[in-house]
Amino acid sequence: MGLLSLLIGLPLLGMVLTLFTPKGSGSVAKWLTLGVTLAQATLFFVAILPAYLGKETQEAYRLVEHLQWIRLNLGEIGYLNIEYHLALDGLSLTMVLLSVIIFPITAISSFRIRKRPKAYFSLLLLLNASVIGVFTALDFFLFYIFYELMLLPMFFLIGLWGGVRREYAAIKFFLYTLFGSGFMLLIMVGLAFSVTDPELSGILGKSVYTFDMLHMMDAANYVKGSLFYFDGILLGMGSRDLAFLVLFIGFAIKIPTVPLHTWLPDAHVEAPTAVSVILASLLLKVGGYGVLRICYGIFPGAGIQFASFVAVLGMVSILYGALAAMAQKDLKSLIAYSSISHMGFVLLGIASLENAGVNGAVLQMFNHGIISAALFLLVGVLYDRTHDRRIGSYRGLWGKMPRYSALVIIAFFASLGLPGLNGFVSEMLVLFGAFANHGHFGQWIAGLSVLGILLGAVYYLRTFRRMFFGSFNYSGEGDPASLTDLTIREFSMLIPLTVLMIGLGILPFLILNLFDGSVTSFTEGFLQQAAAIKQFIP
Amino acid sequence: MRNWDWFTEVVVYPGPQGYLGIAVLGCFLLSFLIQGSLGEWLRGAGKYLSLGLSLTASIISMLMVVNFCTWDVTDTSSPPGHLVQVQWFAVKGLSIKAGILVNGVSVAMLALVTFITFLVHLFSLEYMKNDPRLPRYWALLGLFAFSICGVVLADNLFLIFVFWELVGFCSYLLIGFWFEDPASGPASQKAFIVNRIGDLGFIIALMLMFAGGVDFGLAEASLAVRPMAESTFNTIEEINTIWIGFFLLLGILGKSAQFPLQIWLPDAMVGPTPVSSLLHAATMVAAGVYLLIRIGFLFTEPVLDLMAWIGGFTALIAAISALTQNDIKGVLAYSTISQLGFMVMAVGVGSTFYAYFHLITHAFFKCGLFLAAGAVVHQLHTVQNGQEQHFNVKDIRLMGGLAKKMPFTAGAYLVFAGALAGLPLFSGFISKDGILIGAIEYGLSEGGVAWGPAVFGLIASVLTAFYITRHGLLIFFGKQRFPGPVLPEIRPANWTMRIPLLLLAIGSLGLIKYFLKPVFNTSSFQLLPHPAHGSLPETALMATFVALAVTGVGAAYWMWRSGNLGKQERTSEGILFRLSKNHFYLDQAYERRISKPLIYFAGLLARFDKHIVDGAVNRVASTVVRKDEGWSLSKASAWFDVNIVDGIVNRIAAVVLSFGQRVRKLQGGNLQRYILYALLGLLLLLGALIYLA
Repeated sequence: MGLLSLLIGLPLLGMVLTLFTPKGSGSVAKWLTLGVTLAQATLFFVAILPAYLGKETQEAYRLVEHLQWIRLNLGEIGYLNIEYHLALDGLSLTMVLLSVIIFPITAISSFRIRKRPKAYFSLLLLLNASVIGVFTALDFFLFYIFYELMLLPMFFLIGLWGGVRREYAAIKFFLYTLFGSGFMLLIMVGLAFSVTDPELSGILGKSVYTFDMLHMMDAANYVKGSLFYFDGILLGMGSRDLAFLVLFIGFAIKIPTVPLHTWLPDAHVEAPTAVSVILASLLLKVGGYGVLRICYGIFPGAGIQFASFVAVLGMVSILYGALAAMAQKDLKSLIAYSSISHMGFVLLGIASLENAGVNGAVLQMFNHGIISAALFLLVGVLYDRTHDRRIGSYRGLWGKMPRYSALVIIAFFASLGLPGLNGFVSEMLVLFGAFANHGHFGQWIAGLSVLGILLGAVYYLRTFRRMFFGSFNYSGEGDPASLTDLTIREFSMLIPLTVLMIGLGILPFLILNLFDGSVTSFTEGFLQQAAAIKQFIP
Repeated sequence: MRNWDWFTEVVVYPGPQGYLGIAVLGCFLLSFLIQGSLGEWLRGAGKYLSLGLSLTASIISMLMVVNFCTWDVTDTSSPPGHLVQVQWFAVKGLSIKAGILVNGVSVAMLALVTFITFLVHLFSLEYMKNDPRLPRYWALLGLFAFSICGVVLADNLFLIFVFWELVGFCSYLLIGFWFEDPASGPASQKAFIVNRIGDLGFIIALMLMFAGGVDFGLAEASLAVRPMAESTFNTIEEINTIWIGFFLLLGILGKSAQFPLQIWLPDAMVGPTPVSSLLHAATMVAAGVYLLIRIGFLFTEPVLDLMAWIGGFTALIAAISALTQNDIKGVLAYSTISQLGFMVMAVGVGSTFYAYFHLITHAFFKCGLFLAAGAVVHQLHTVQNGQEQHFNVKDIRLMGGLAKKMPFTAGAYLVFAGALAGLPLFSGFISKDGILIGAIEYGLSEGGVAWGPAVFGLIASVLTAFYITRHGLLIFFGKQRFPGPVLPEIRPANWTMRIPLLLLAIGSLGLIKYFLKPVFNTSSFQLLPHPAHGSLPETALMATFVALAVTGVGAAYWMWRSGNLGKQERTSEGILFRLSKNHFYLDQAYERRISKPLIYFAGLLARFDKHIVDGAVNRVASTVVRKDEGWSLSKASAWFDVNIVDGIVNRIAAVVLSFGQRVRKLQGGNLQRYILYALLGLLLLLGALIYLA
């Protein structure tokens, strides 16, 4: 078994073990989950990450696991091939790195779950496996399975362990995502019947249609006259353009992009803290990852054609999310809207197709993963104490909880892009790239997006002033005496994230160097592919 | 007007200076890190640690200045490493470096900043000694000093921006240092956000540079923006250079509190007085002016003109506002804005050298004024703690007669005030003189409306003399106006408060010119644009300036003698008085025209989001499924299913059933028969298939 399979298998094994623990032994389940996630992280840092360090050619896929899975004989048409294909390049490596950092923290954060802990922790582990699976799968079919598999635990985690309107939020989340992925299924099947595997076709003597994404990314593998050949027409528009848009909508829901974002605030507000953390720092990244790897990777021509569309969506998300955040009364929903704003930078960076911009987008995904995890944990700290997230209920927390306040300051300023903290570098890279885009869209889009940086300062500082300045006062329904400073358990979750926020702000190259080779060659390859496709168009 | 040579000399400067610069940065960073982590544990010893580190940094900077002054530009044997530089991070197509670039302009500023920082540390020993959160205070001072030294030394605009923002962050935390004070929250928030508006300009300028292919490095950029006519290095169009300069200017207007972004500075005075003195008078706000000088090559004529107007205008309106303030620090805050306006104007009119000179002299006397005010407030506060009756210890209308109680502070104050008013023998006279001459030269050479900045400047300098005289008279002279019984004896300020005042007072004398001479003789300063002397009758002008200052002082004295200054209750407030008192209602205008509408719009958008966008989603959902009585797709489809689909099925079933009744005869329970029928059926099927094929 390969390392990546092991990485996915560990949490699955943990899930099975959790299910077999005797009834009522919640503490076994939680320690088991923590152990499994820590083992997973150890595996990653000891065995996987070193394979990428100090190597010249980072762009290559490594740790490849390529196994025959399903081969359908379609008679005269040929074969339809589904493979178990896992590998990591710099991009997916960064996403997996983020995942293995976040999962142990969410396990700790869930320690105080009292309701059906066995079920809770086994779902958490299932979610873990499927997230890692999504980031490592290179076969579209396999990717799709993991992608759909993420929904199931998420649905139950929000729907069973959530807040008052949990069922509404869970169903909304589920349907929204399913809406996107339903279309994805159609495109995927269409793609599979348009792309052949050149090597296997040679060996088997018949054309072998494949779900392999790497083959889908190569213009030479498309069968002439097939649905997604370069001259294909579907519903009155270029079939590839349509496919790009449909896939893009699917992933844009995940990111989420305005106007497809309304599931996010509800899901966040209702979800328990740990699930919010996973949602914000990992599941949103699946959207960005999908756009980059699948939409742009497979349909480069459409990527250029819709560059200004995507860039405008990014800009709108940045500004709309920030403005909406300013008006929120619930702290968690404020952070949810700020997530929308910051994920807008990801879209903007990708749309720029400029090296600095795309690298910035990927770095922004990582940084947002760290920062939003910290922010949601910090909200959780207050919620645990008073069951009250209203901004207006609190005043003067600085005097009451100084250590907590210090960490809030760092997280808030990291999120609003203070230099020296990690959010800054990625947002600057995105803005540089978006402004210098090679004529794909107007520079005014980047120019307006800069306002997001100002608005970020406005809503965070307003919130901070209202909650932390002044003399202490708590006007909500909870117990003011319960507002004590951070516990050891809370420190253990927040300190690693804070260290990362500061550390990566000062040494951004630690993460940047993991993926910049991959992303650069991806961006360049993408532009080459787009140029190559032009030749195929009659 | 632009002098292209004033930047080239940086390319040949010995390397070791760069390492000394790192040592200075290291001192302050260490102070921050130690105070931030071990501050509580160190207790009393902590303050001496920070003090020692800031003294060390100051000494190193002085050494750098001495080194720099004695270094011979013509000596080519020294290694031409002007900077220490490493790559910070890079992606293909963009490489961001981190480095230290030492030249005359930066080394002098470094010495100034570190020296004043040291004095403020010393002063704070006494001033802040009873504060419960002292480690945090020292830590923030350390971080601030680290950041400002970074701004001074950094070798490229990206890195400058990093430190620039950190300076703003420190300012935010220091203004909000006494966070229980209800005024501190809004003030710190305002400072950061207004600065951020300026910083957007900075970011856009960086974006323009990146898109235009201009390296962020100062030395490289200075080559890239040179006009084609003068060299072959021009890699960017002139129009882009104009925009870059414009947006950078916007950033500088924020940090240096210039119109229209000056409104944050008066509010910033809620922080501790030593902080006001260090950040919001002597160093941080001056960083903007410093940057103007450091990157002067990026500013083209249109931007310089704009700068001259903005600077002159700010100098005037802030001086007008300072006339009527009653807060002891409020007057000084507006005075700072006004003086910074003079400096910005100086750069704009091509008198850059005097802008720098004024930056130095201003740092001394304004820091001194704040510390003197701090000493007054501190002593009154101490006195008040033993009193039953409380009064506002910052209101100058309640002071008076303090010169007798605090003669040392009063003496120092007079020196600072003299320098600010621009009286002869004091430092401010020399530097302001140069600025005004520059402005007049500018008016002469450009003609017409270009006289504007000069006129603004001249009026502002009369007003300056007036308001500072009013300030001083109300605080130190006349009768004591405190409410209640006569105050007991005021304890004289102790030596940690006196030494900084003494040193700053010495620095505010005209003699400073001779100390600065070796620095100003270096090529770095010689190459800064000077006003074109010669055509003007300088002695006559100087006499005029003195006369103007004396007029201001005299007017204030006359009004004070006749009892018209600092009245508790005013019977009538004219329109001019109210405009001055409220700083032309700028704050209120921004509040009403920008903040409120923005927040209102955000609320509107959030409601739009909830009801329209999310509402649409819910409506789609409820069109599909709903629990209540209403119509929905699922109900329709259920009806369709029950009545149509199922109805058809049922009907077919009924048909089949009746058919089955008939066929039942065929079935007798015999297995062979079944097989027979099956075979028959199969044959029929086959036959049909063959027939169809």
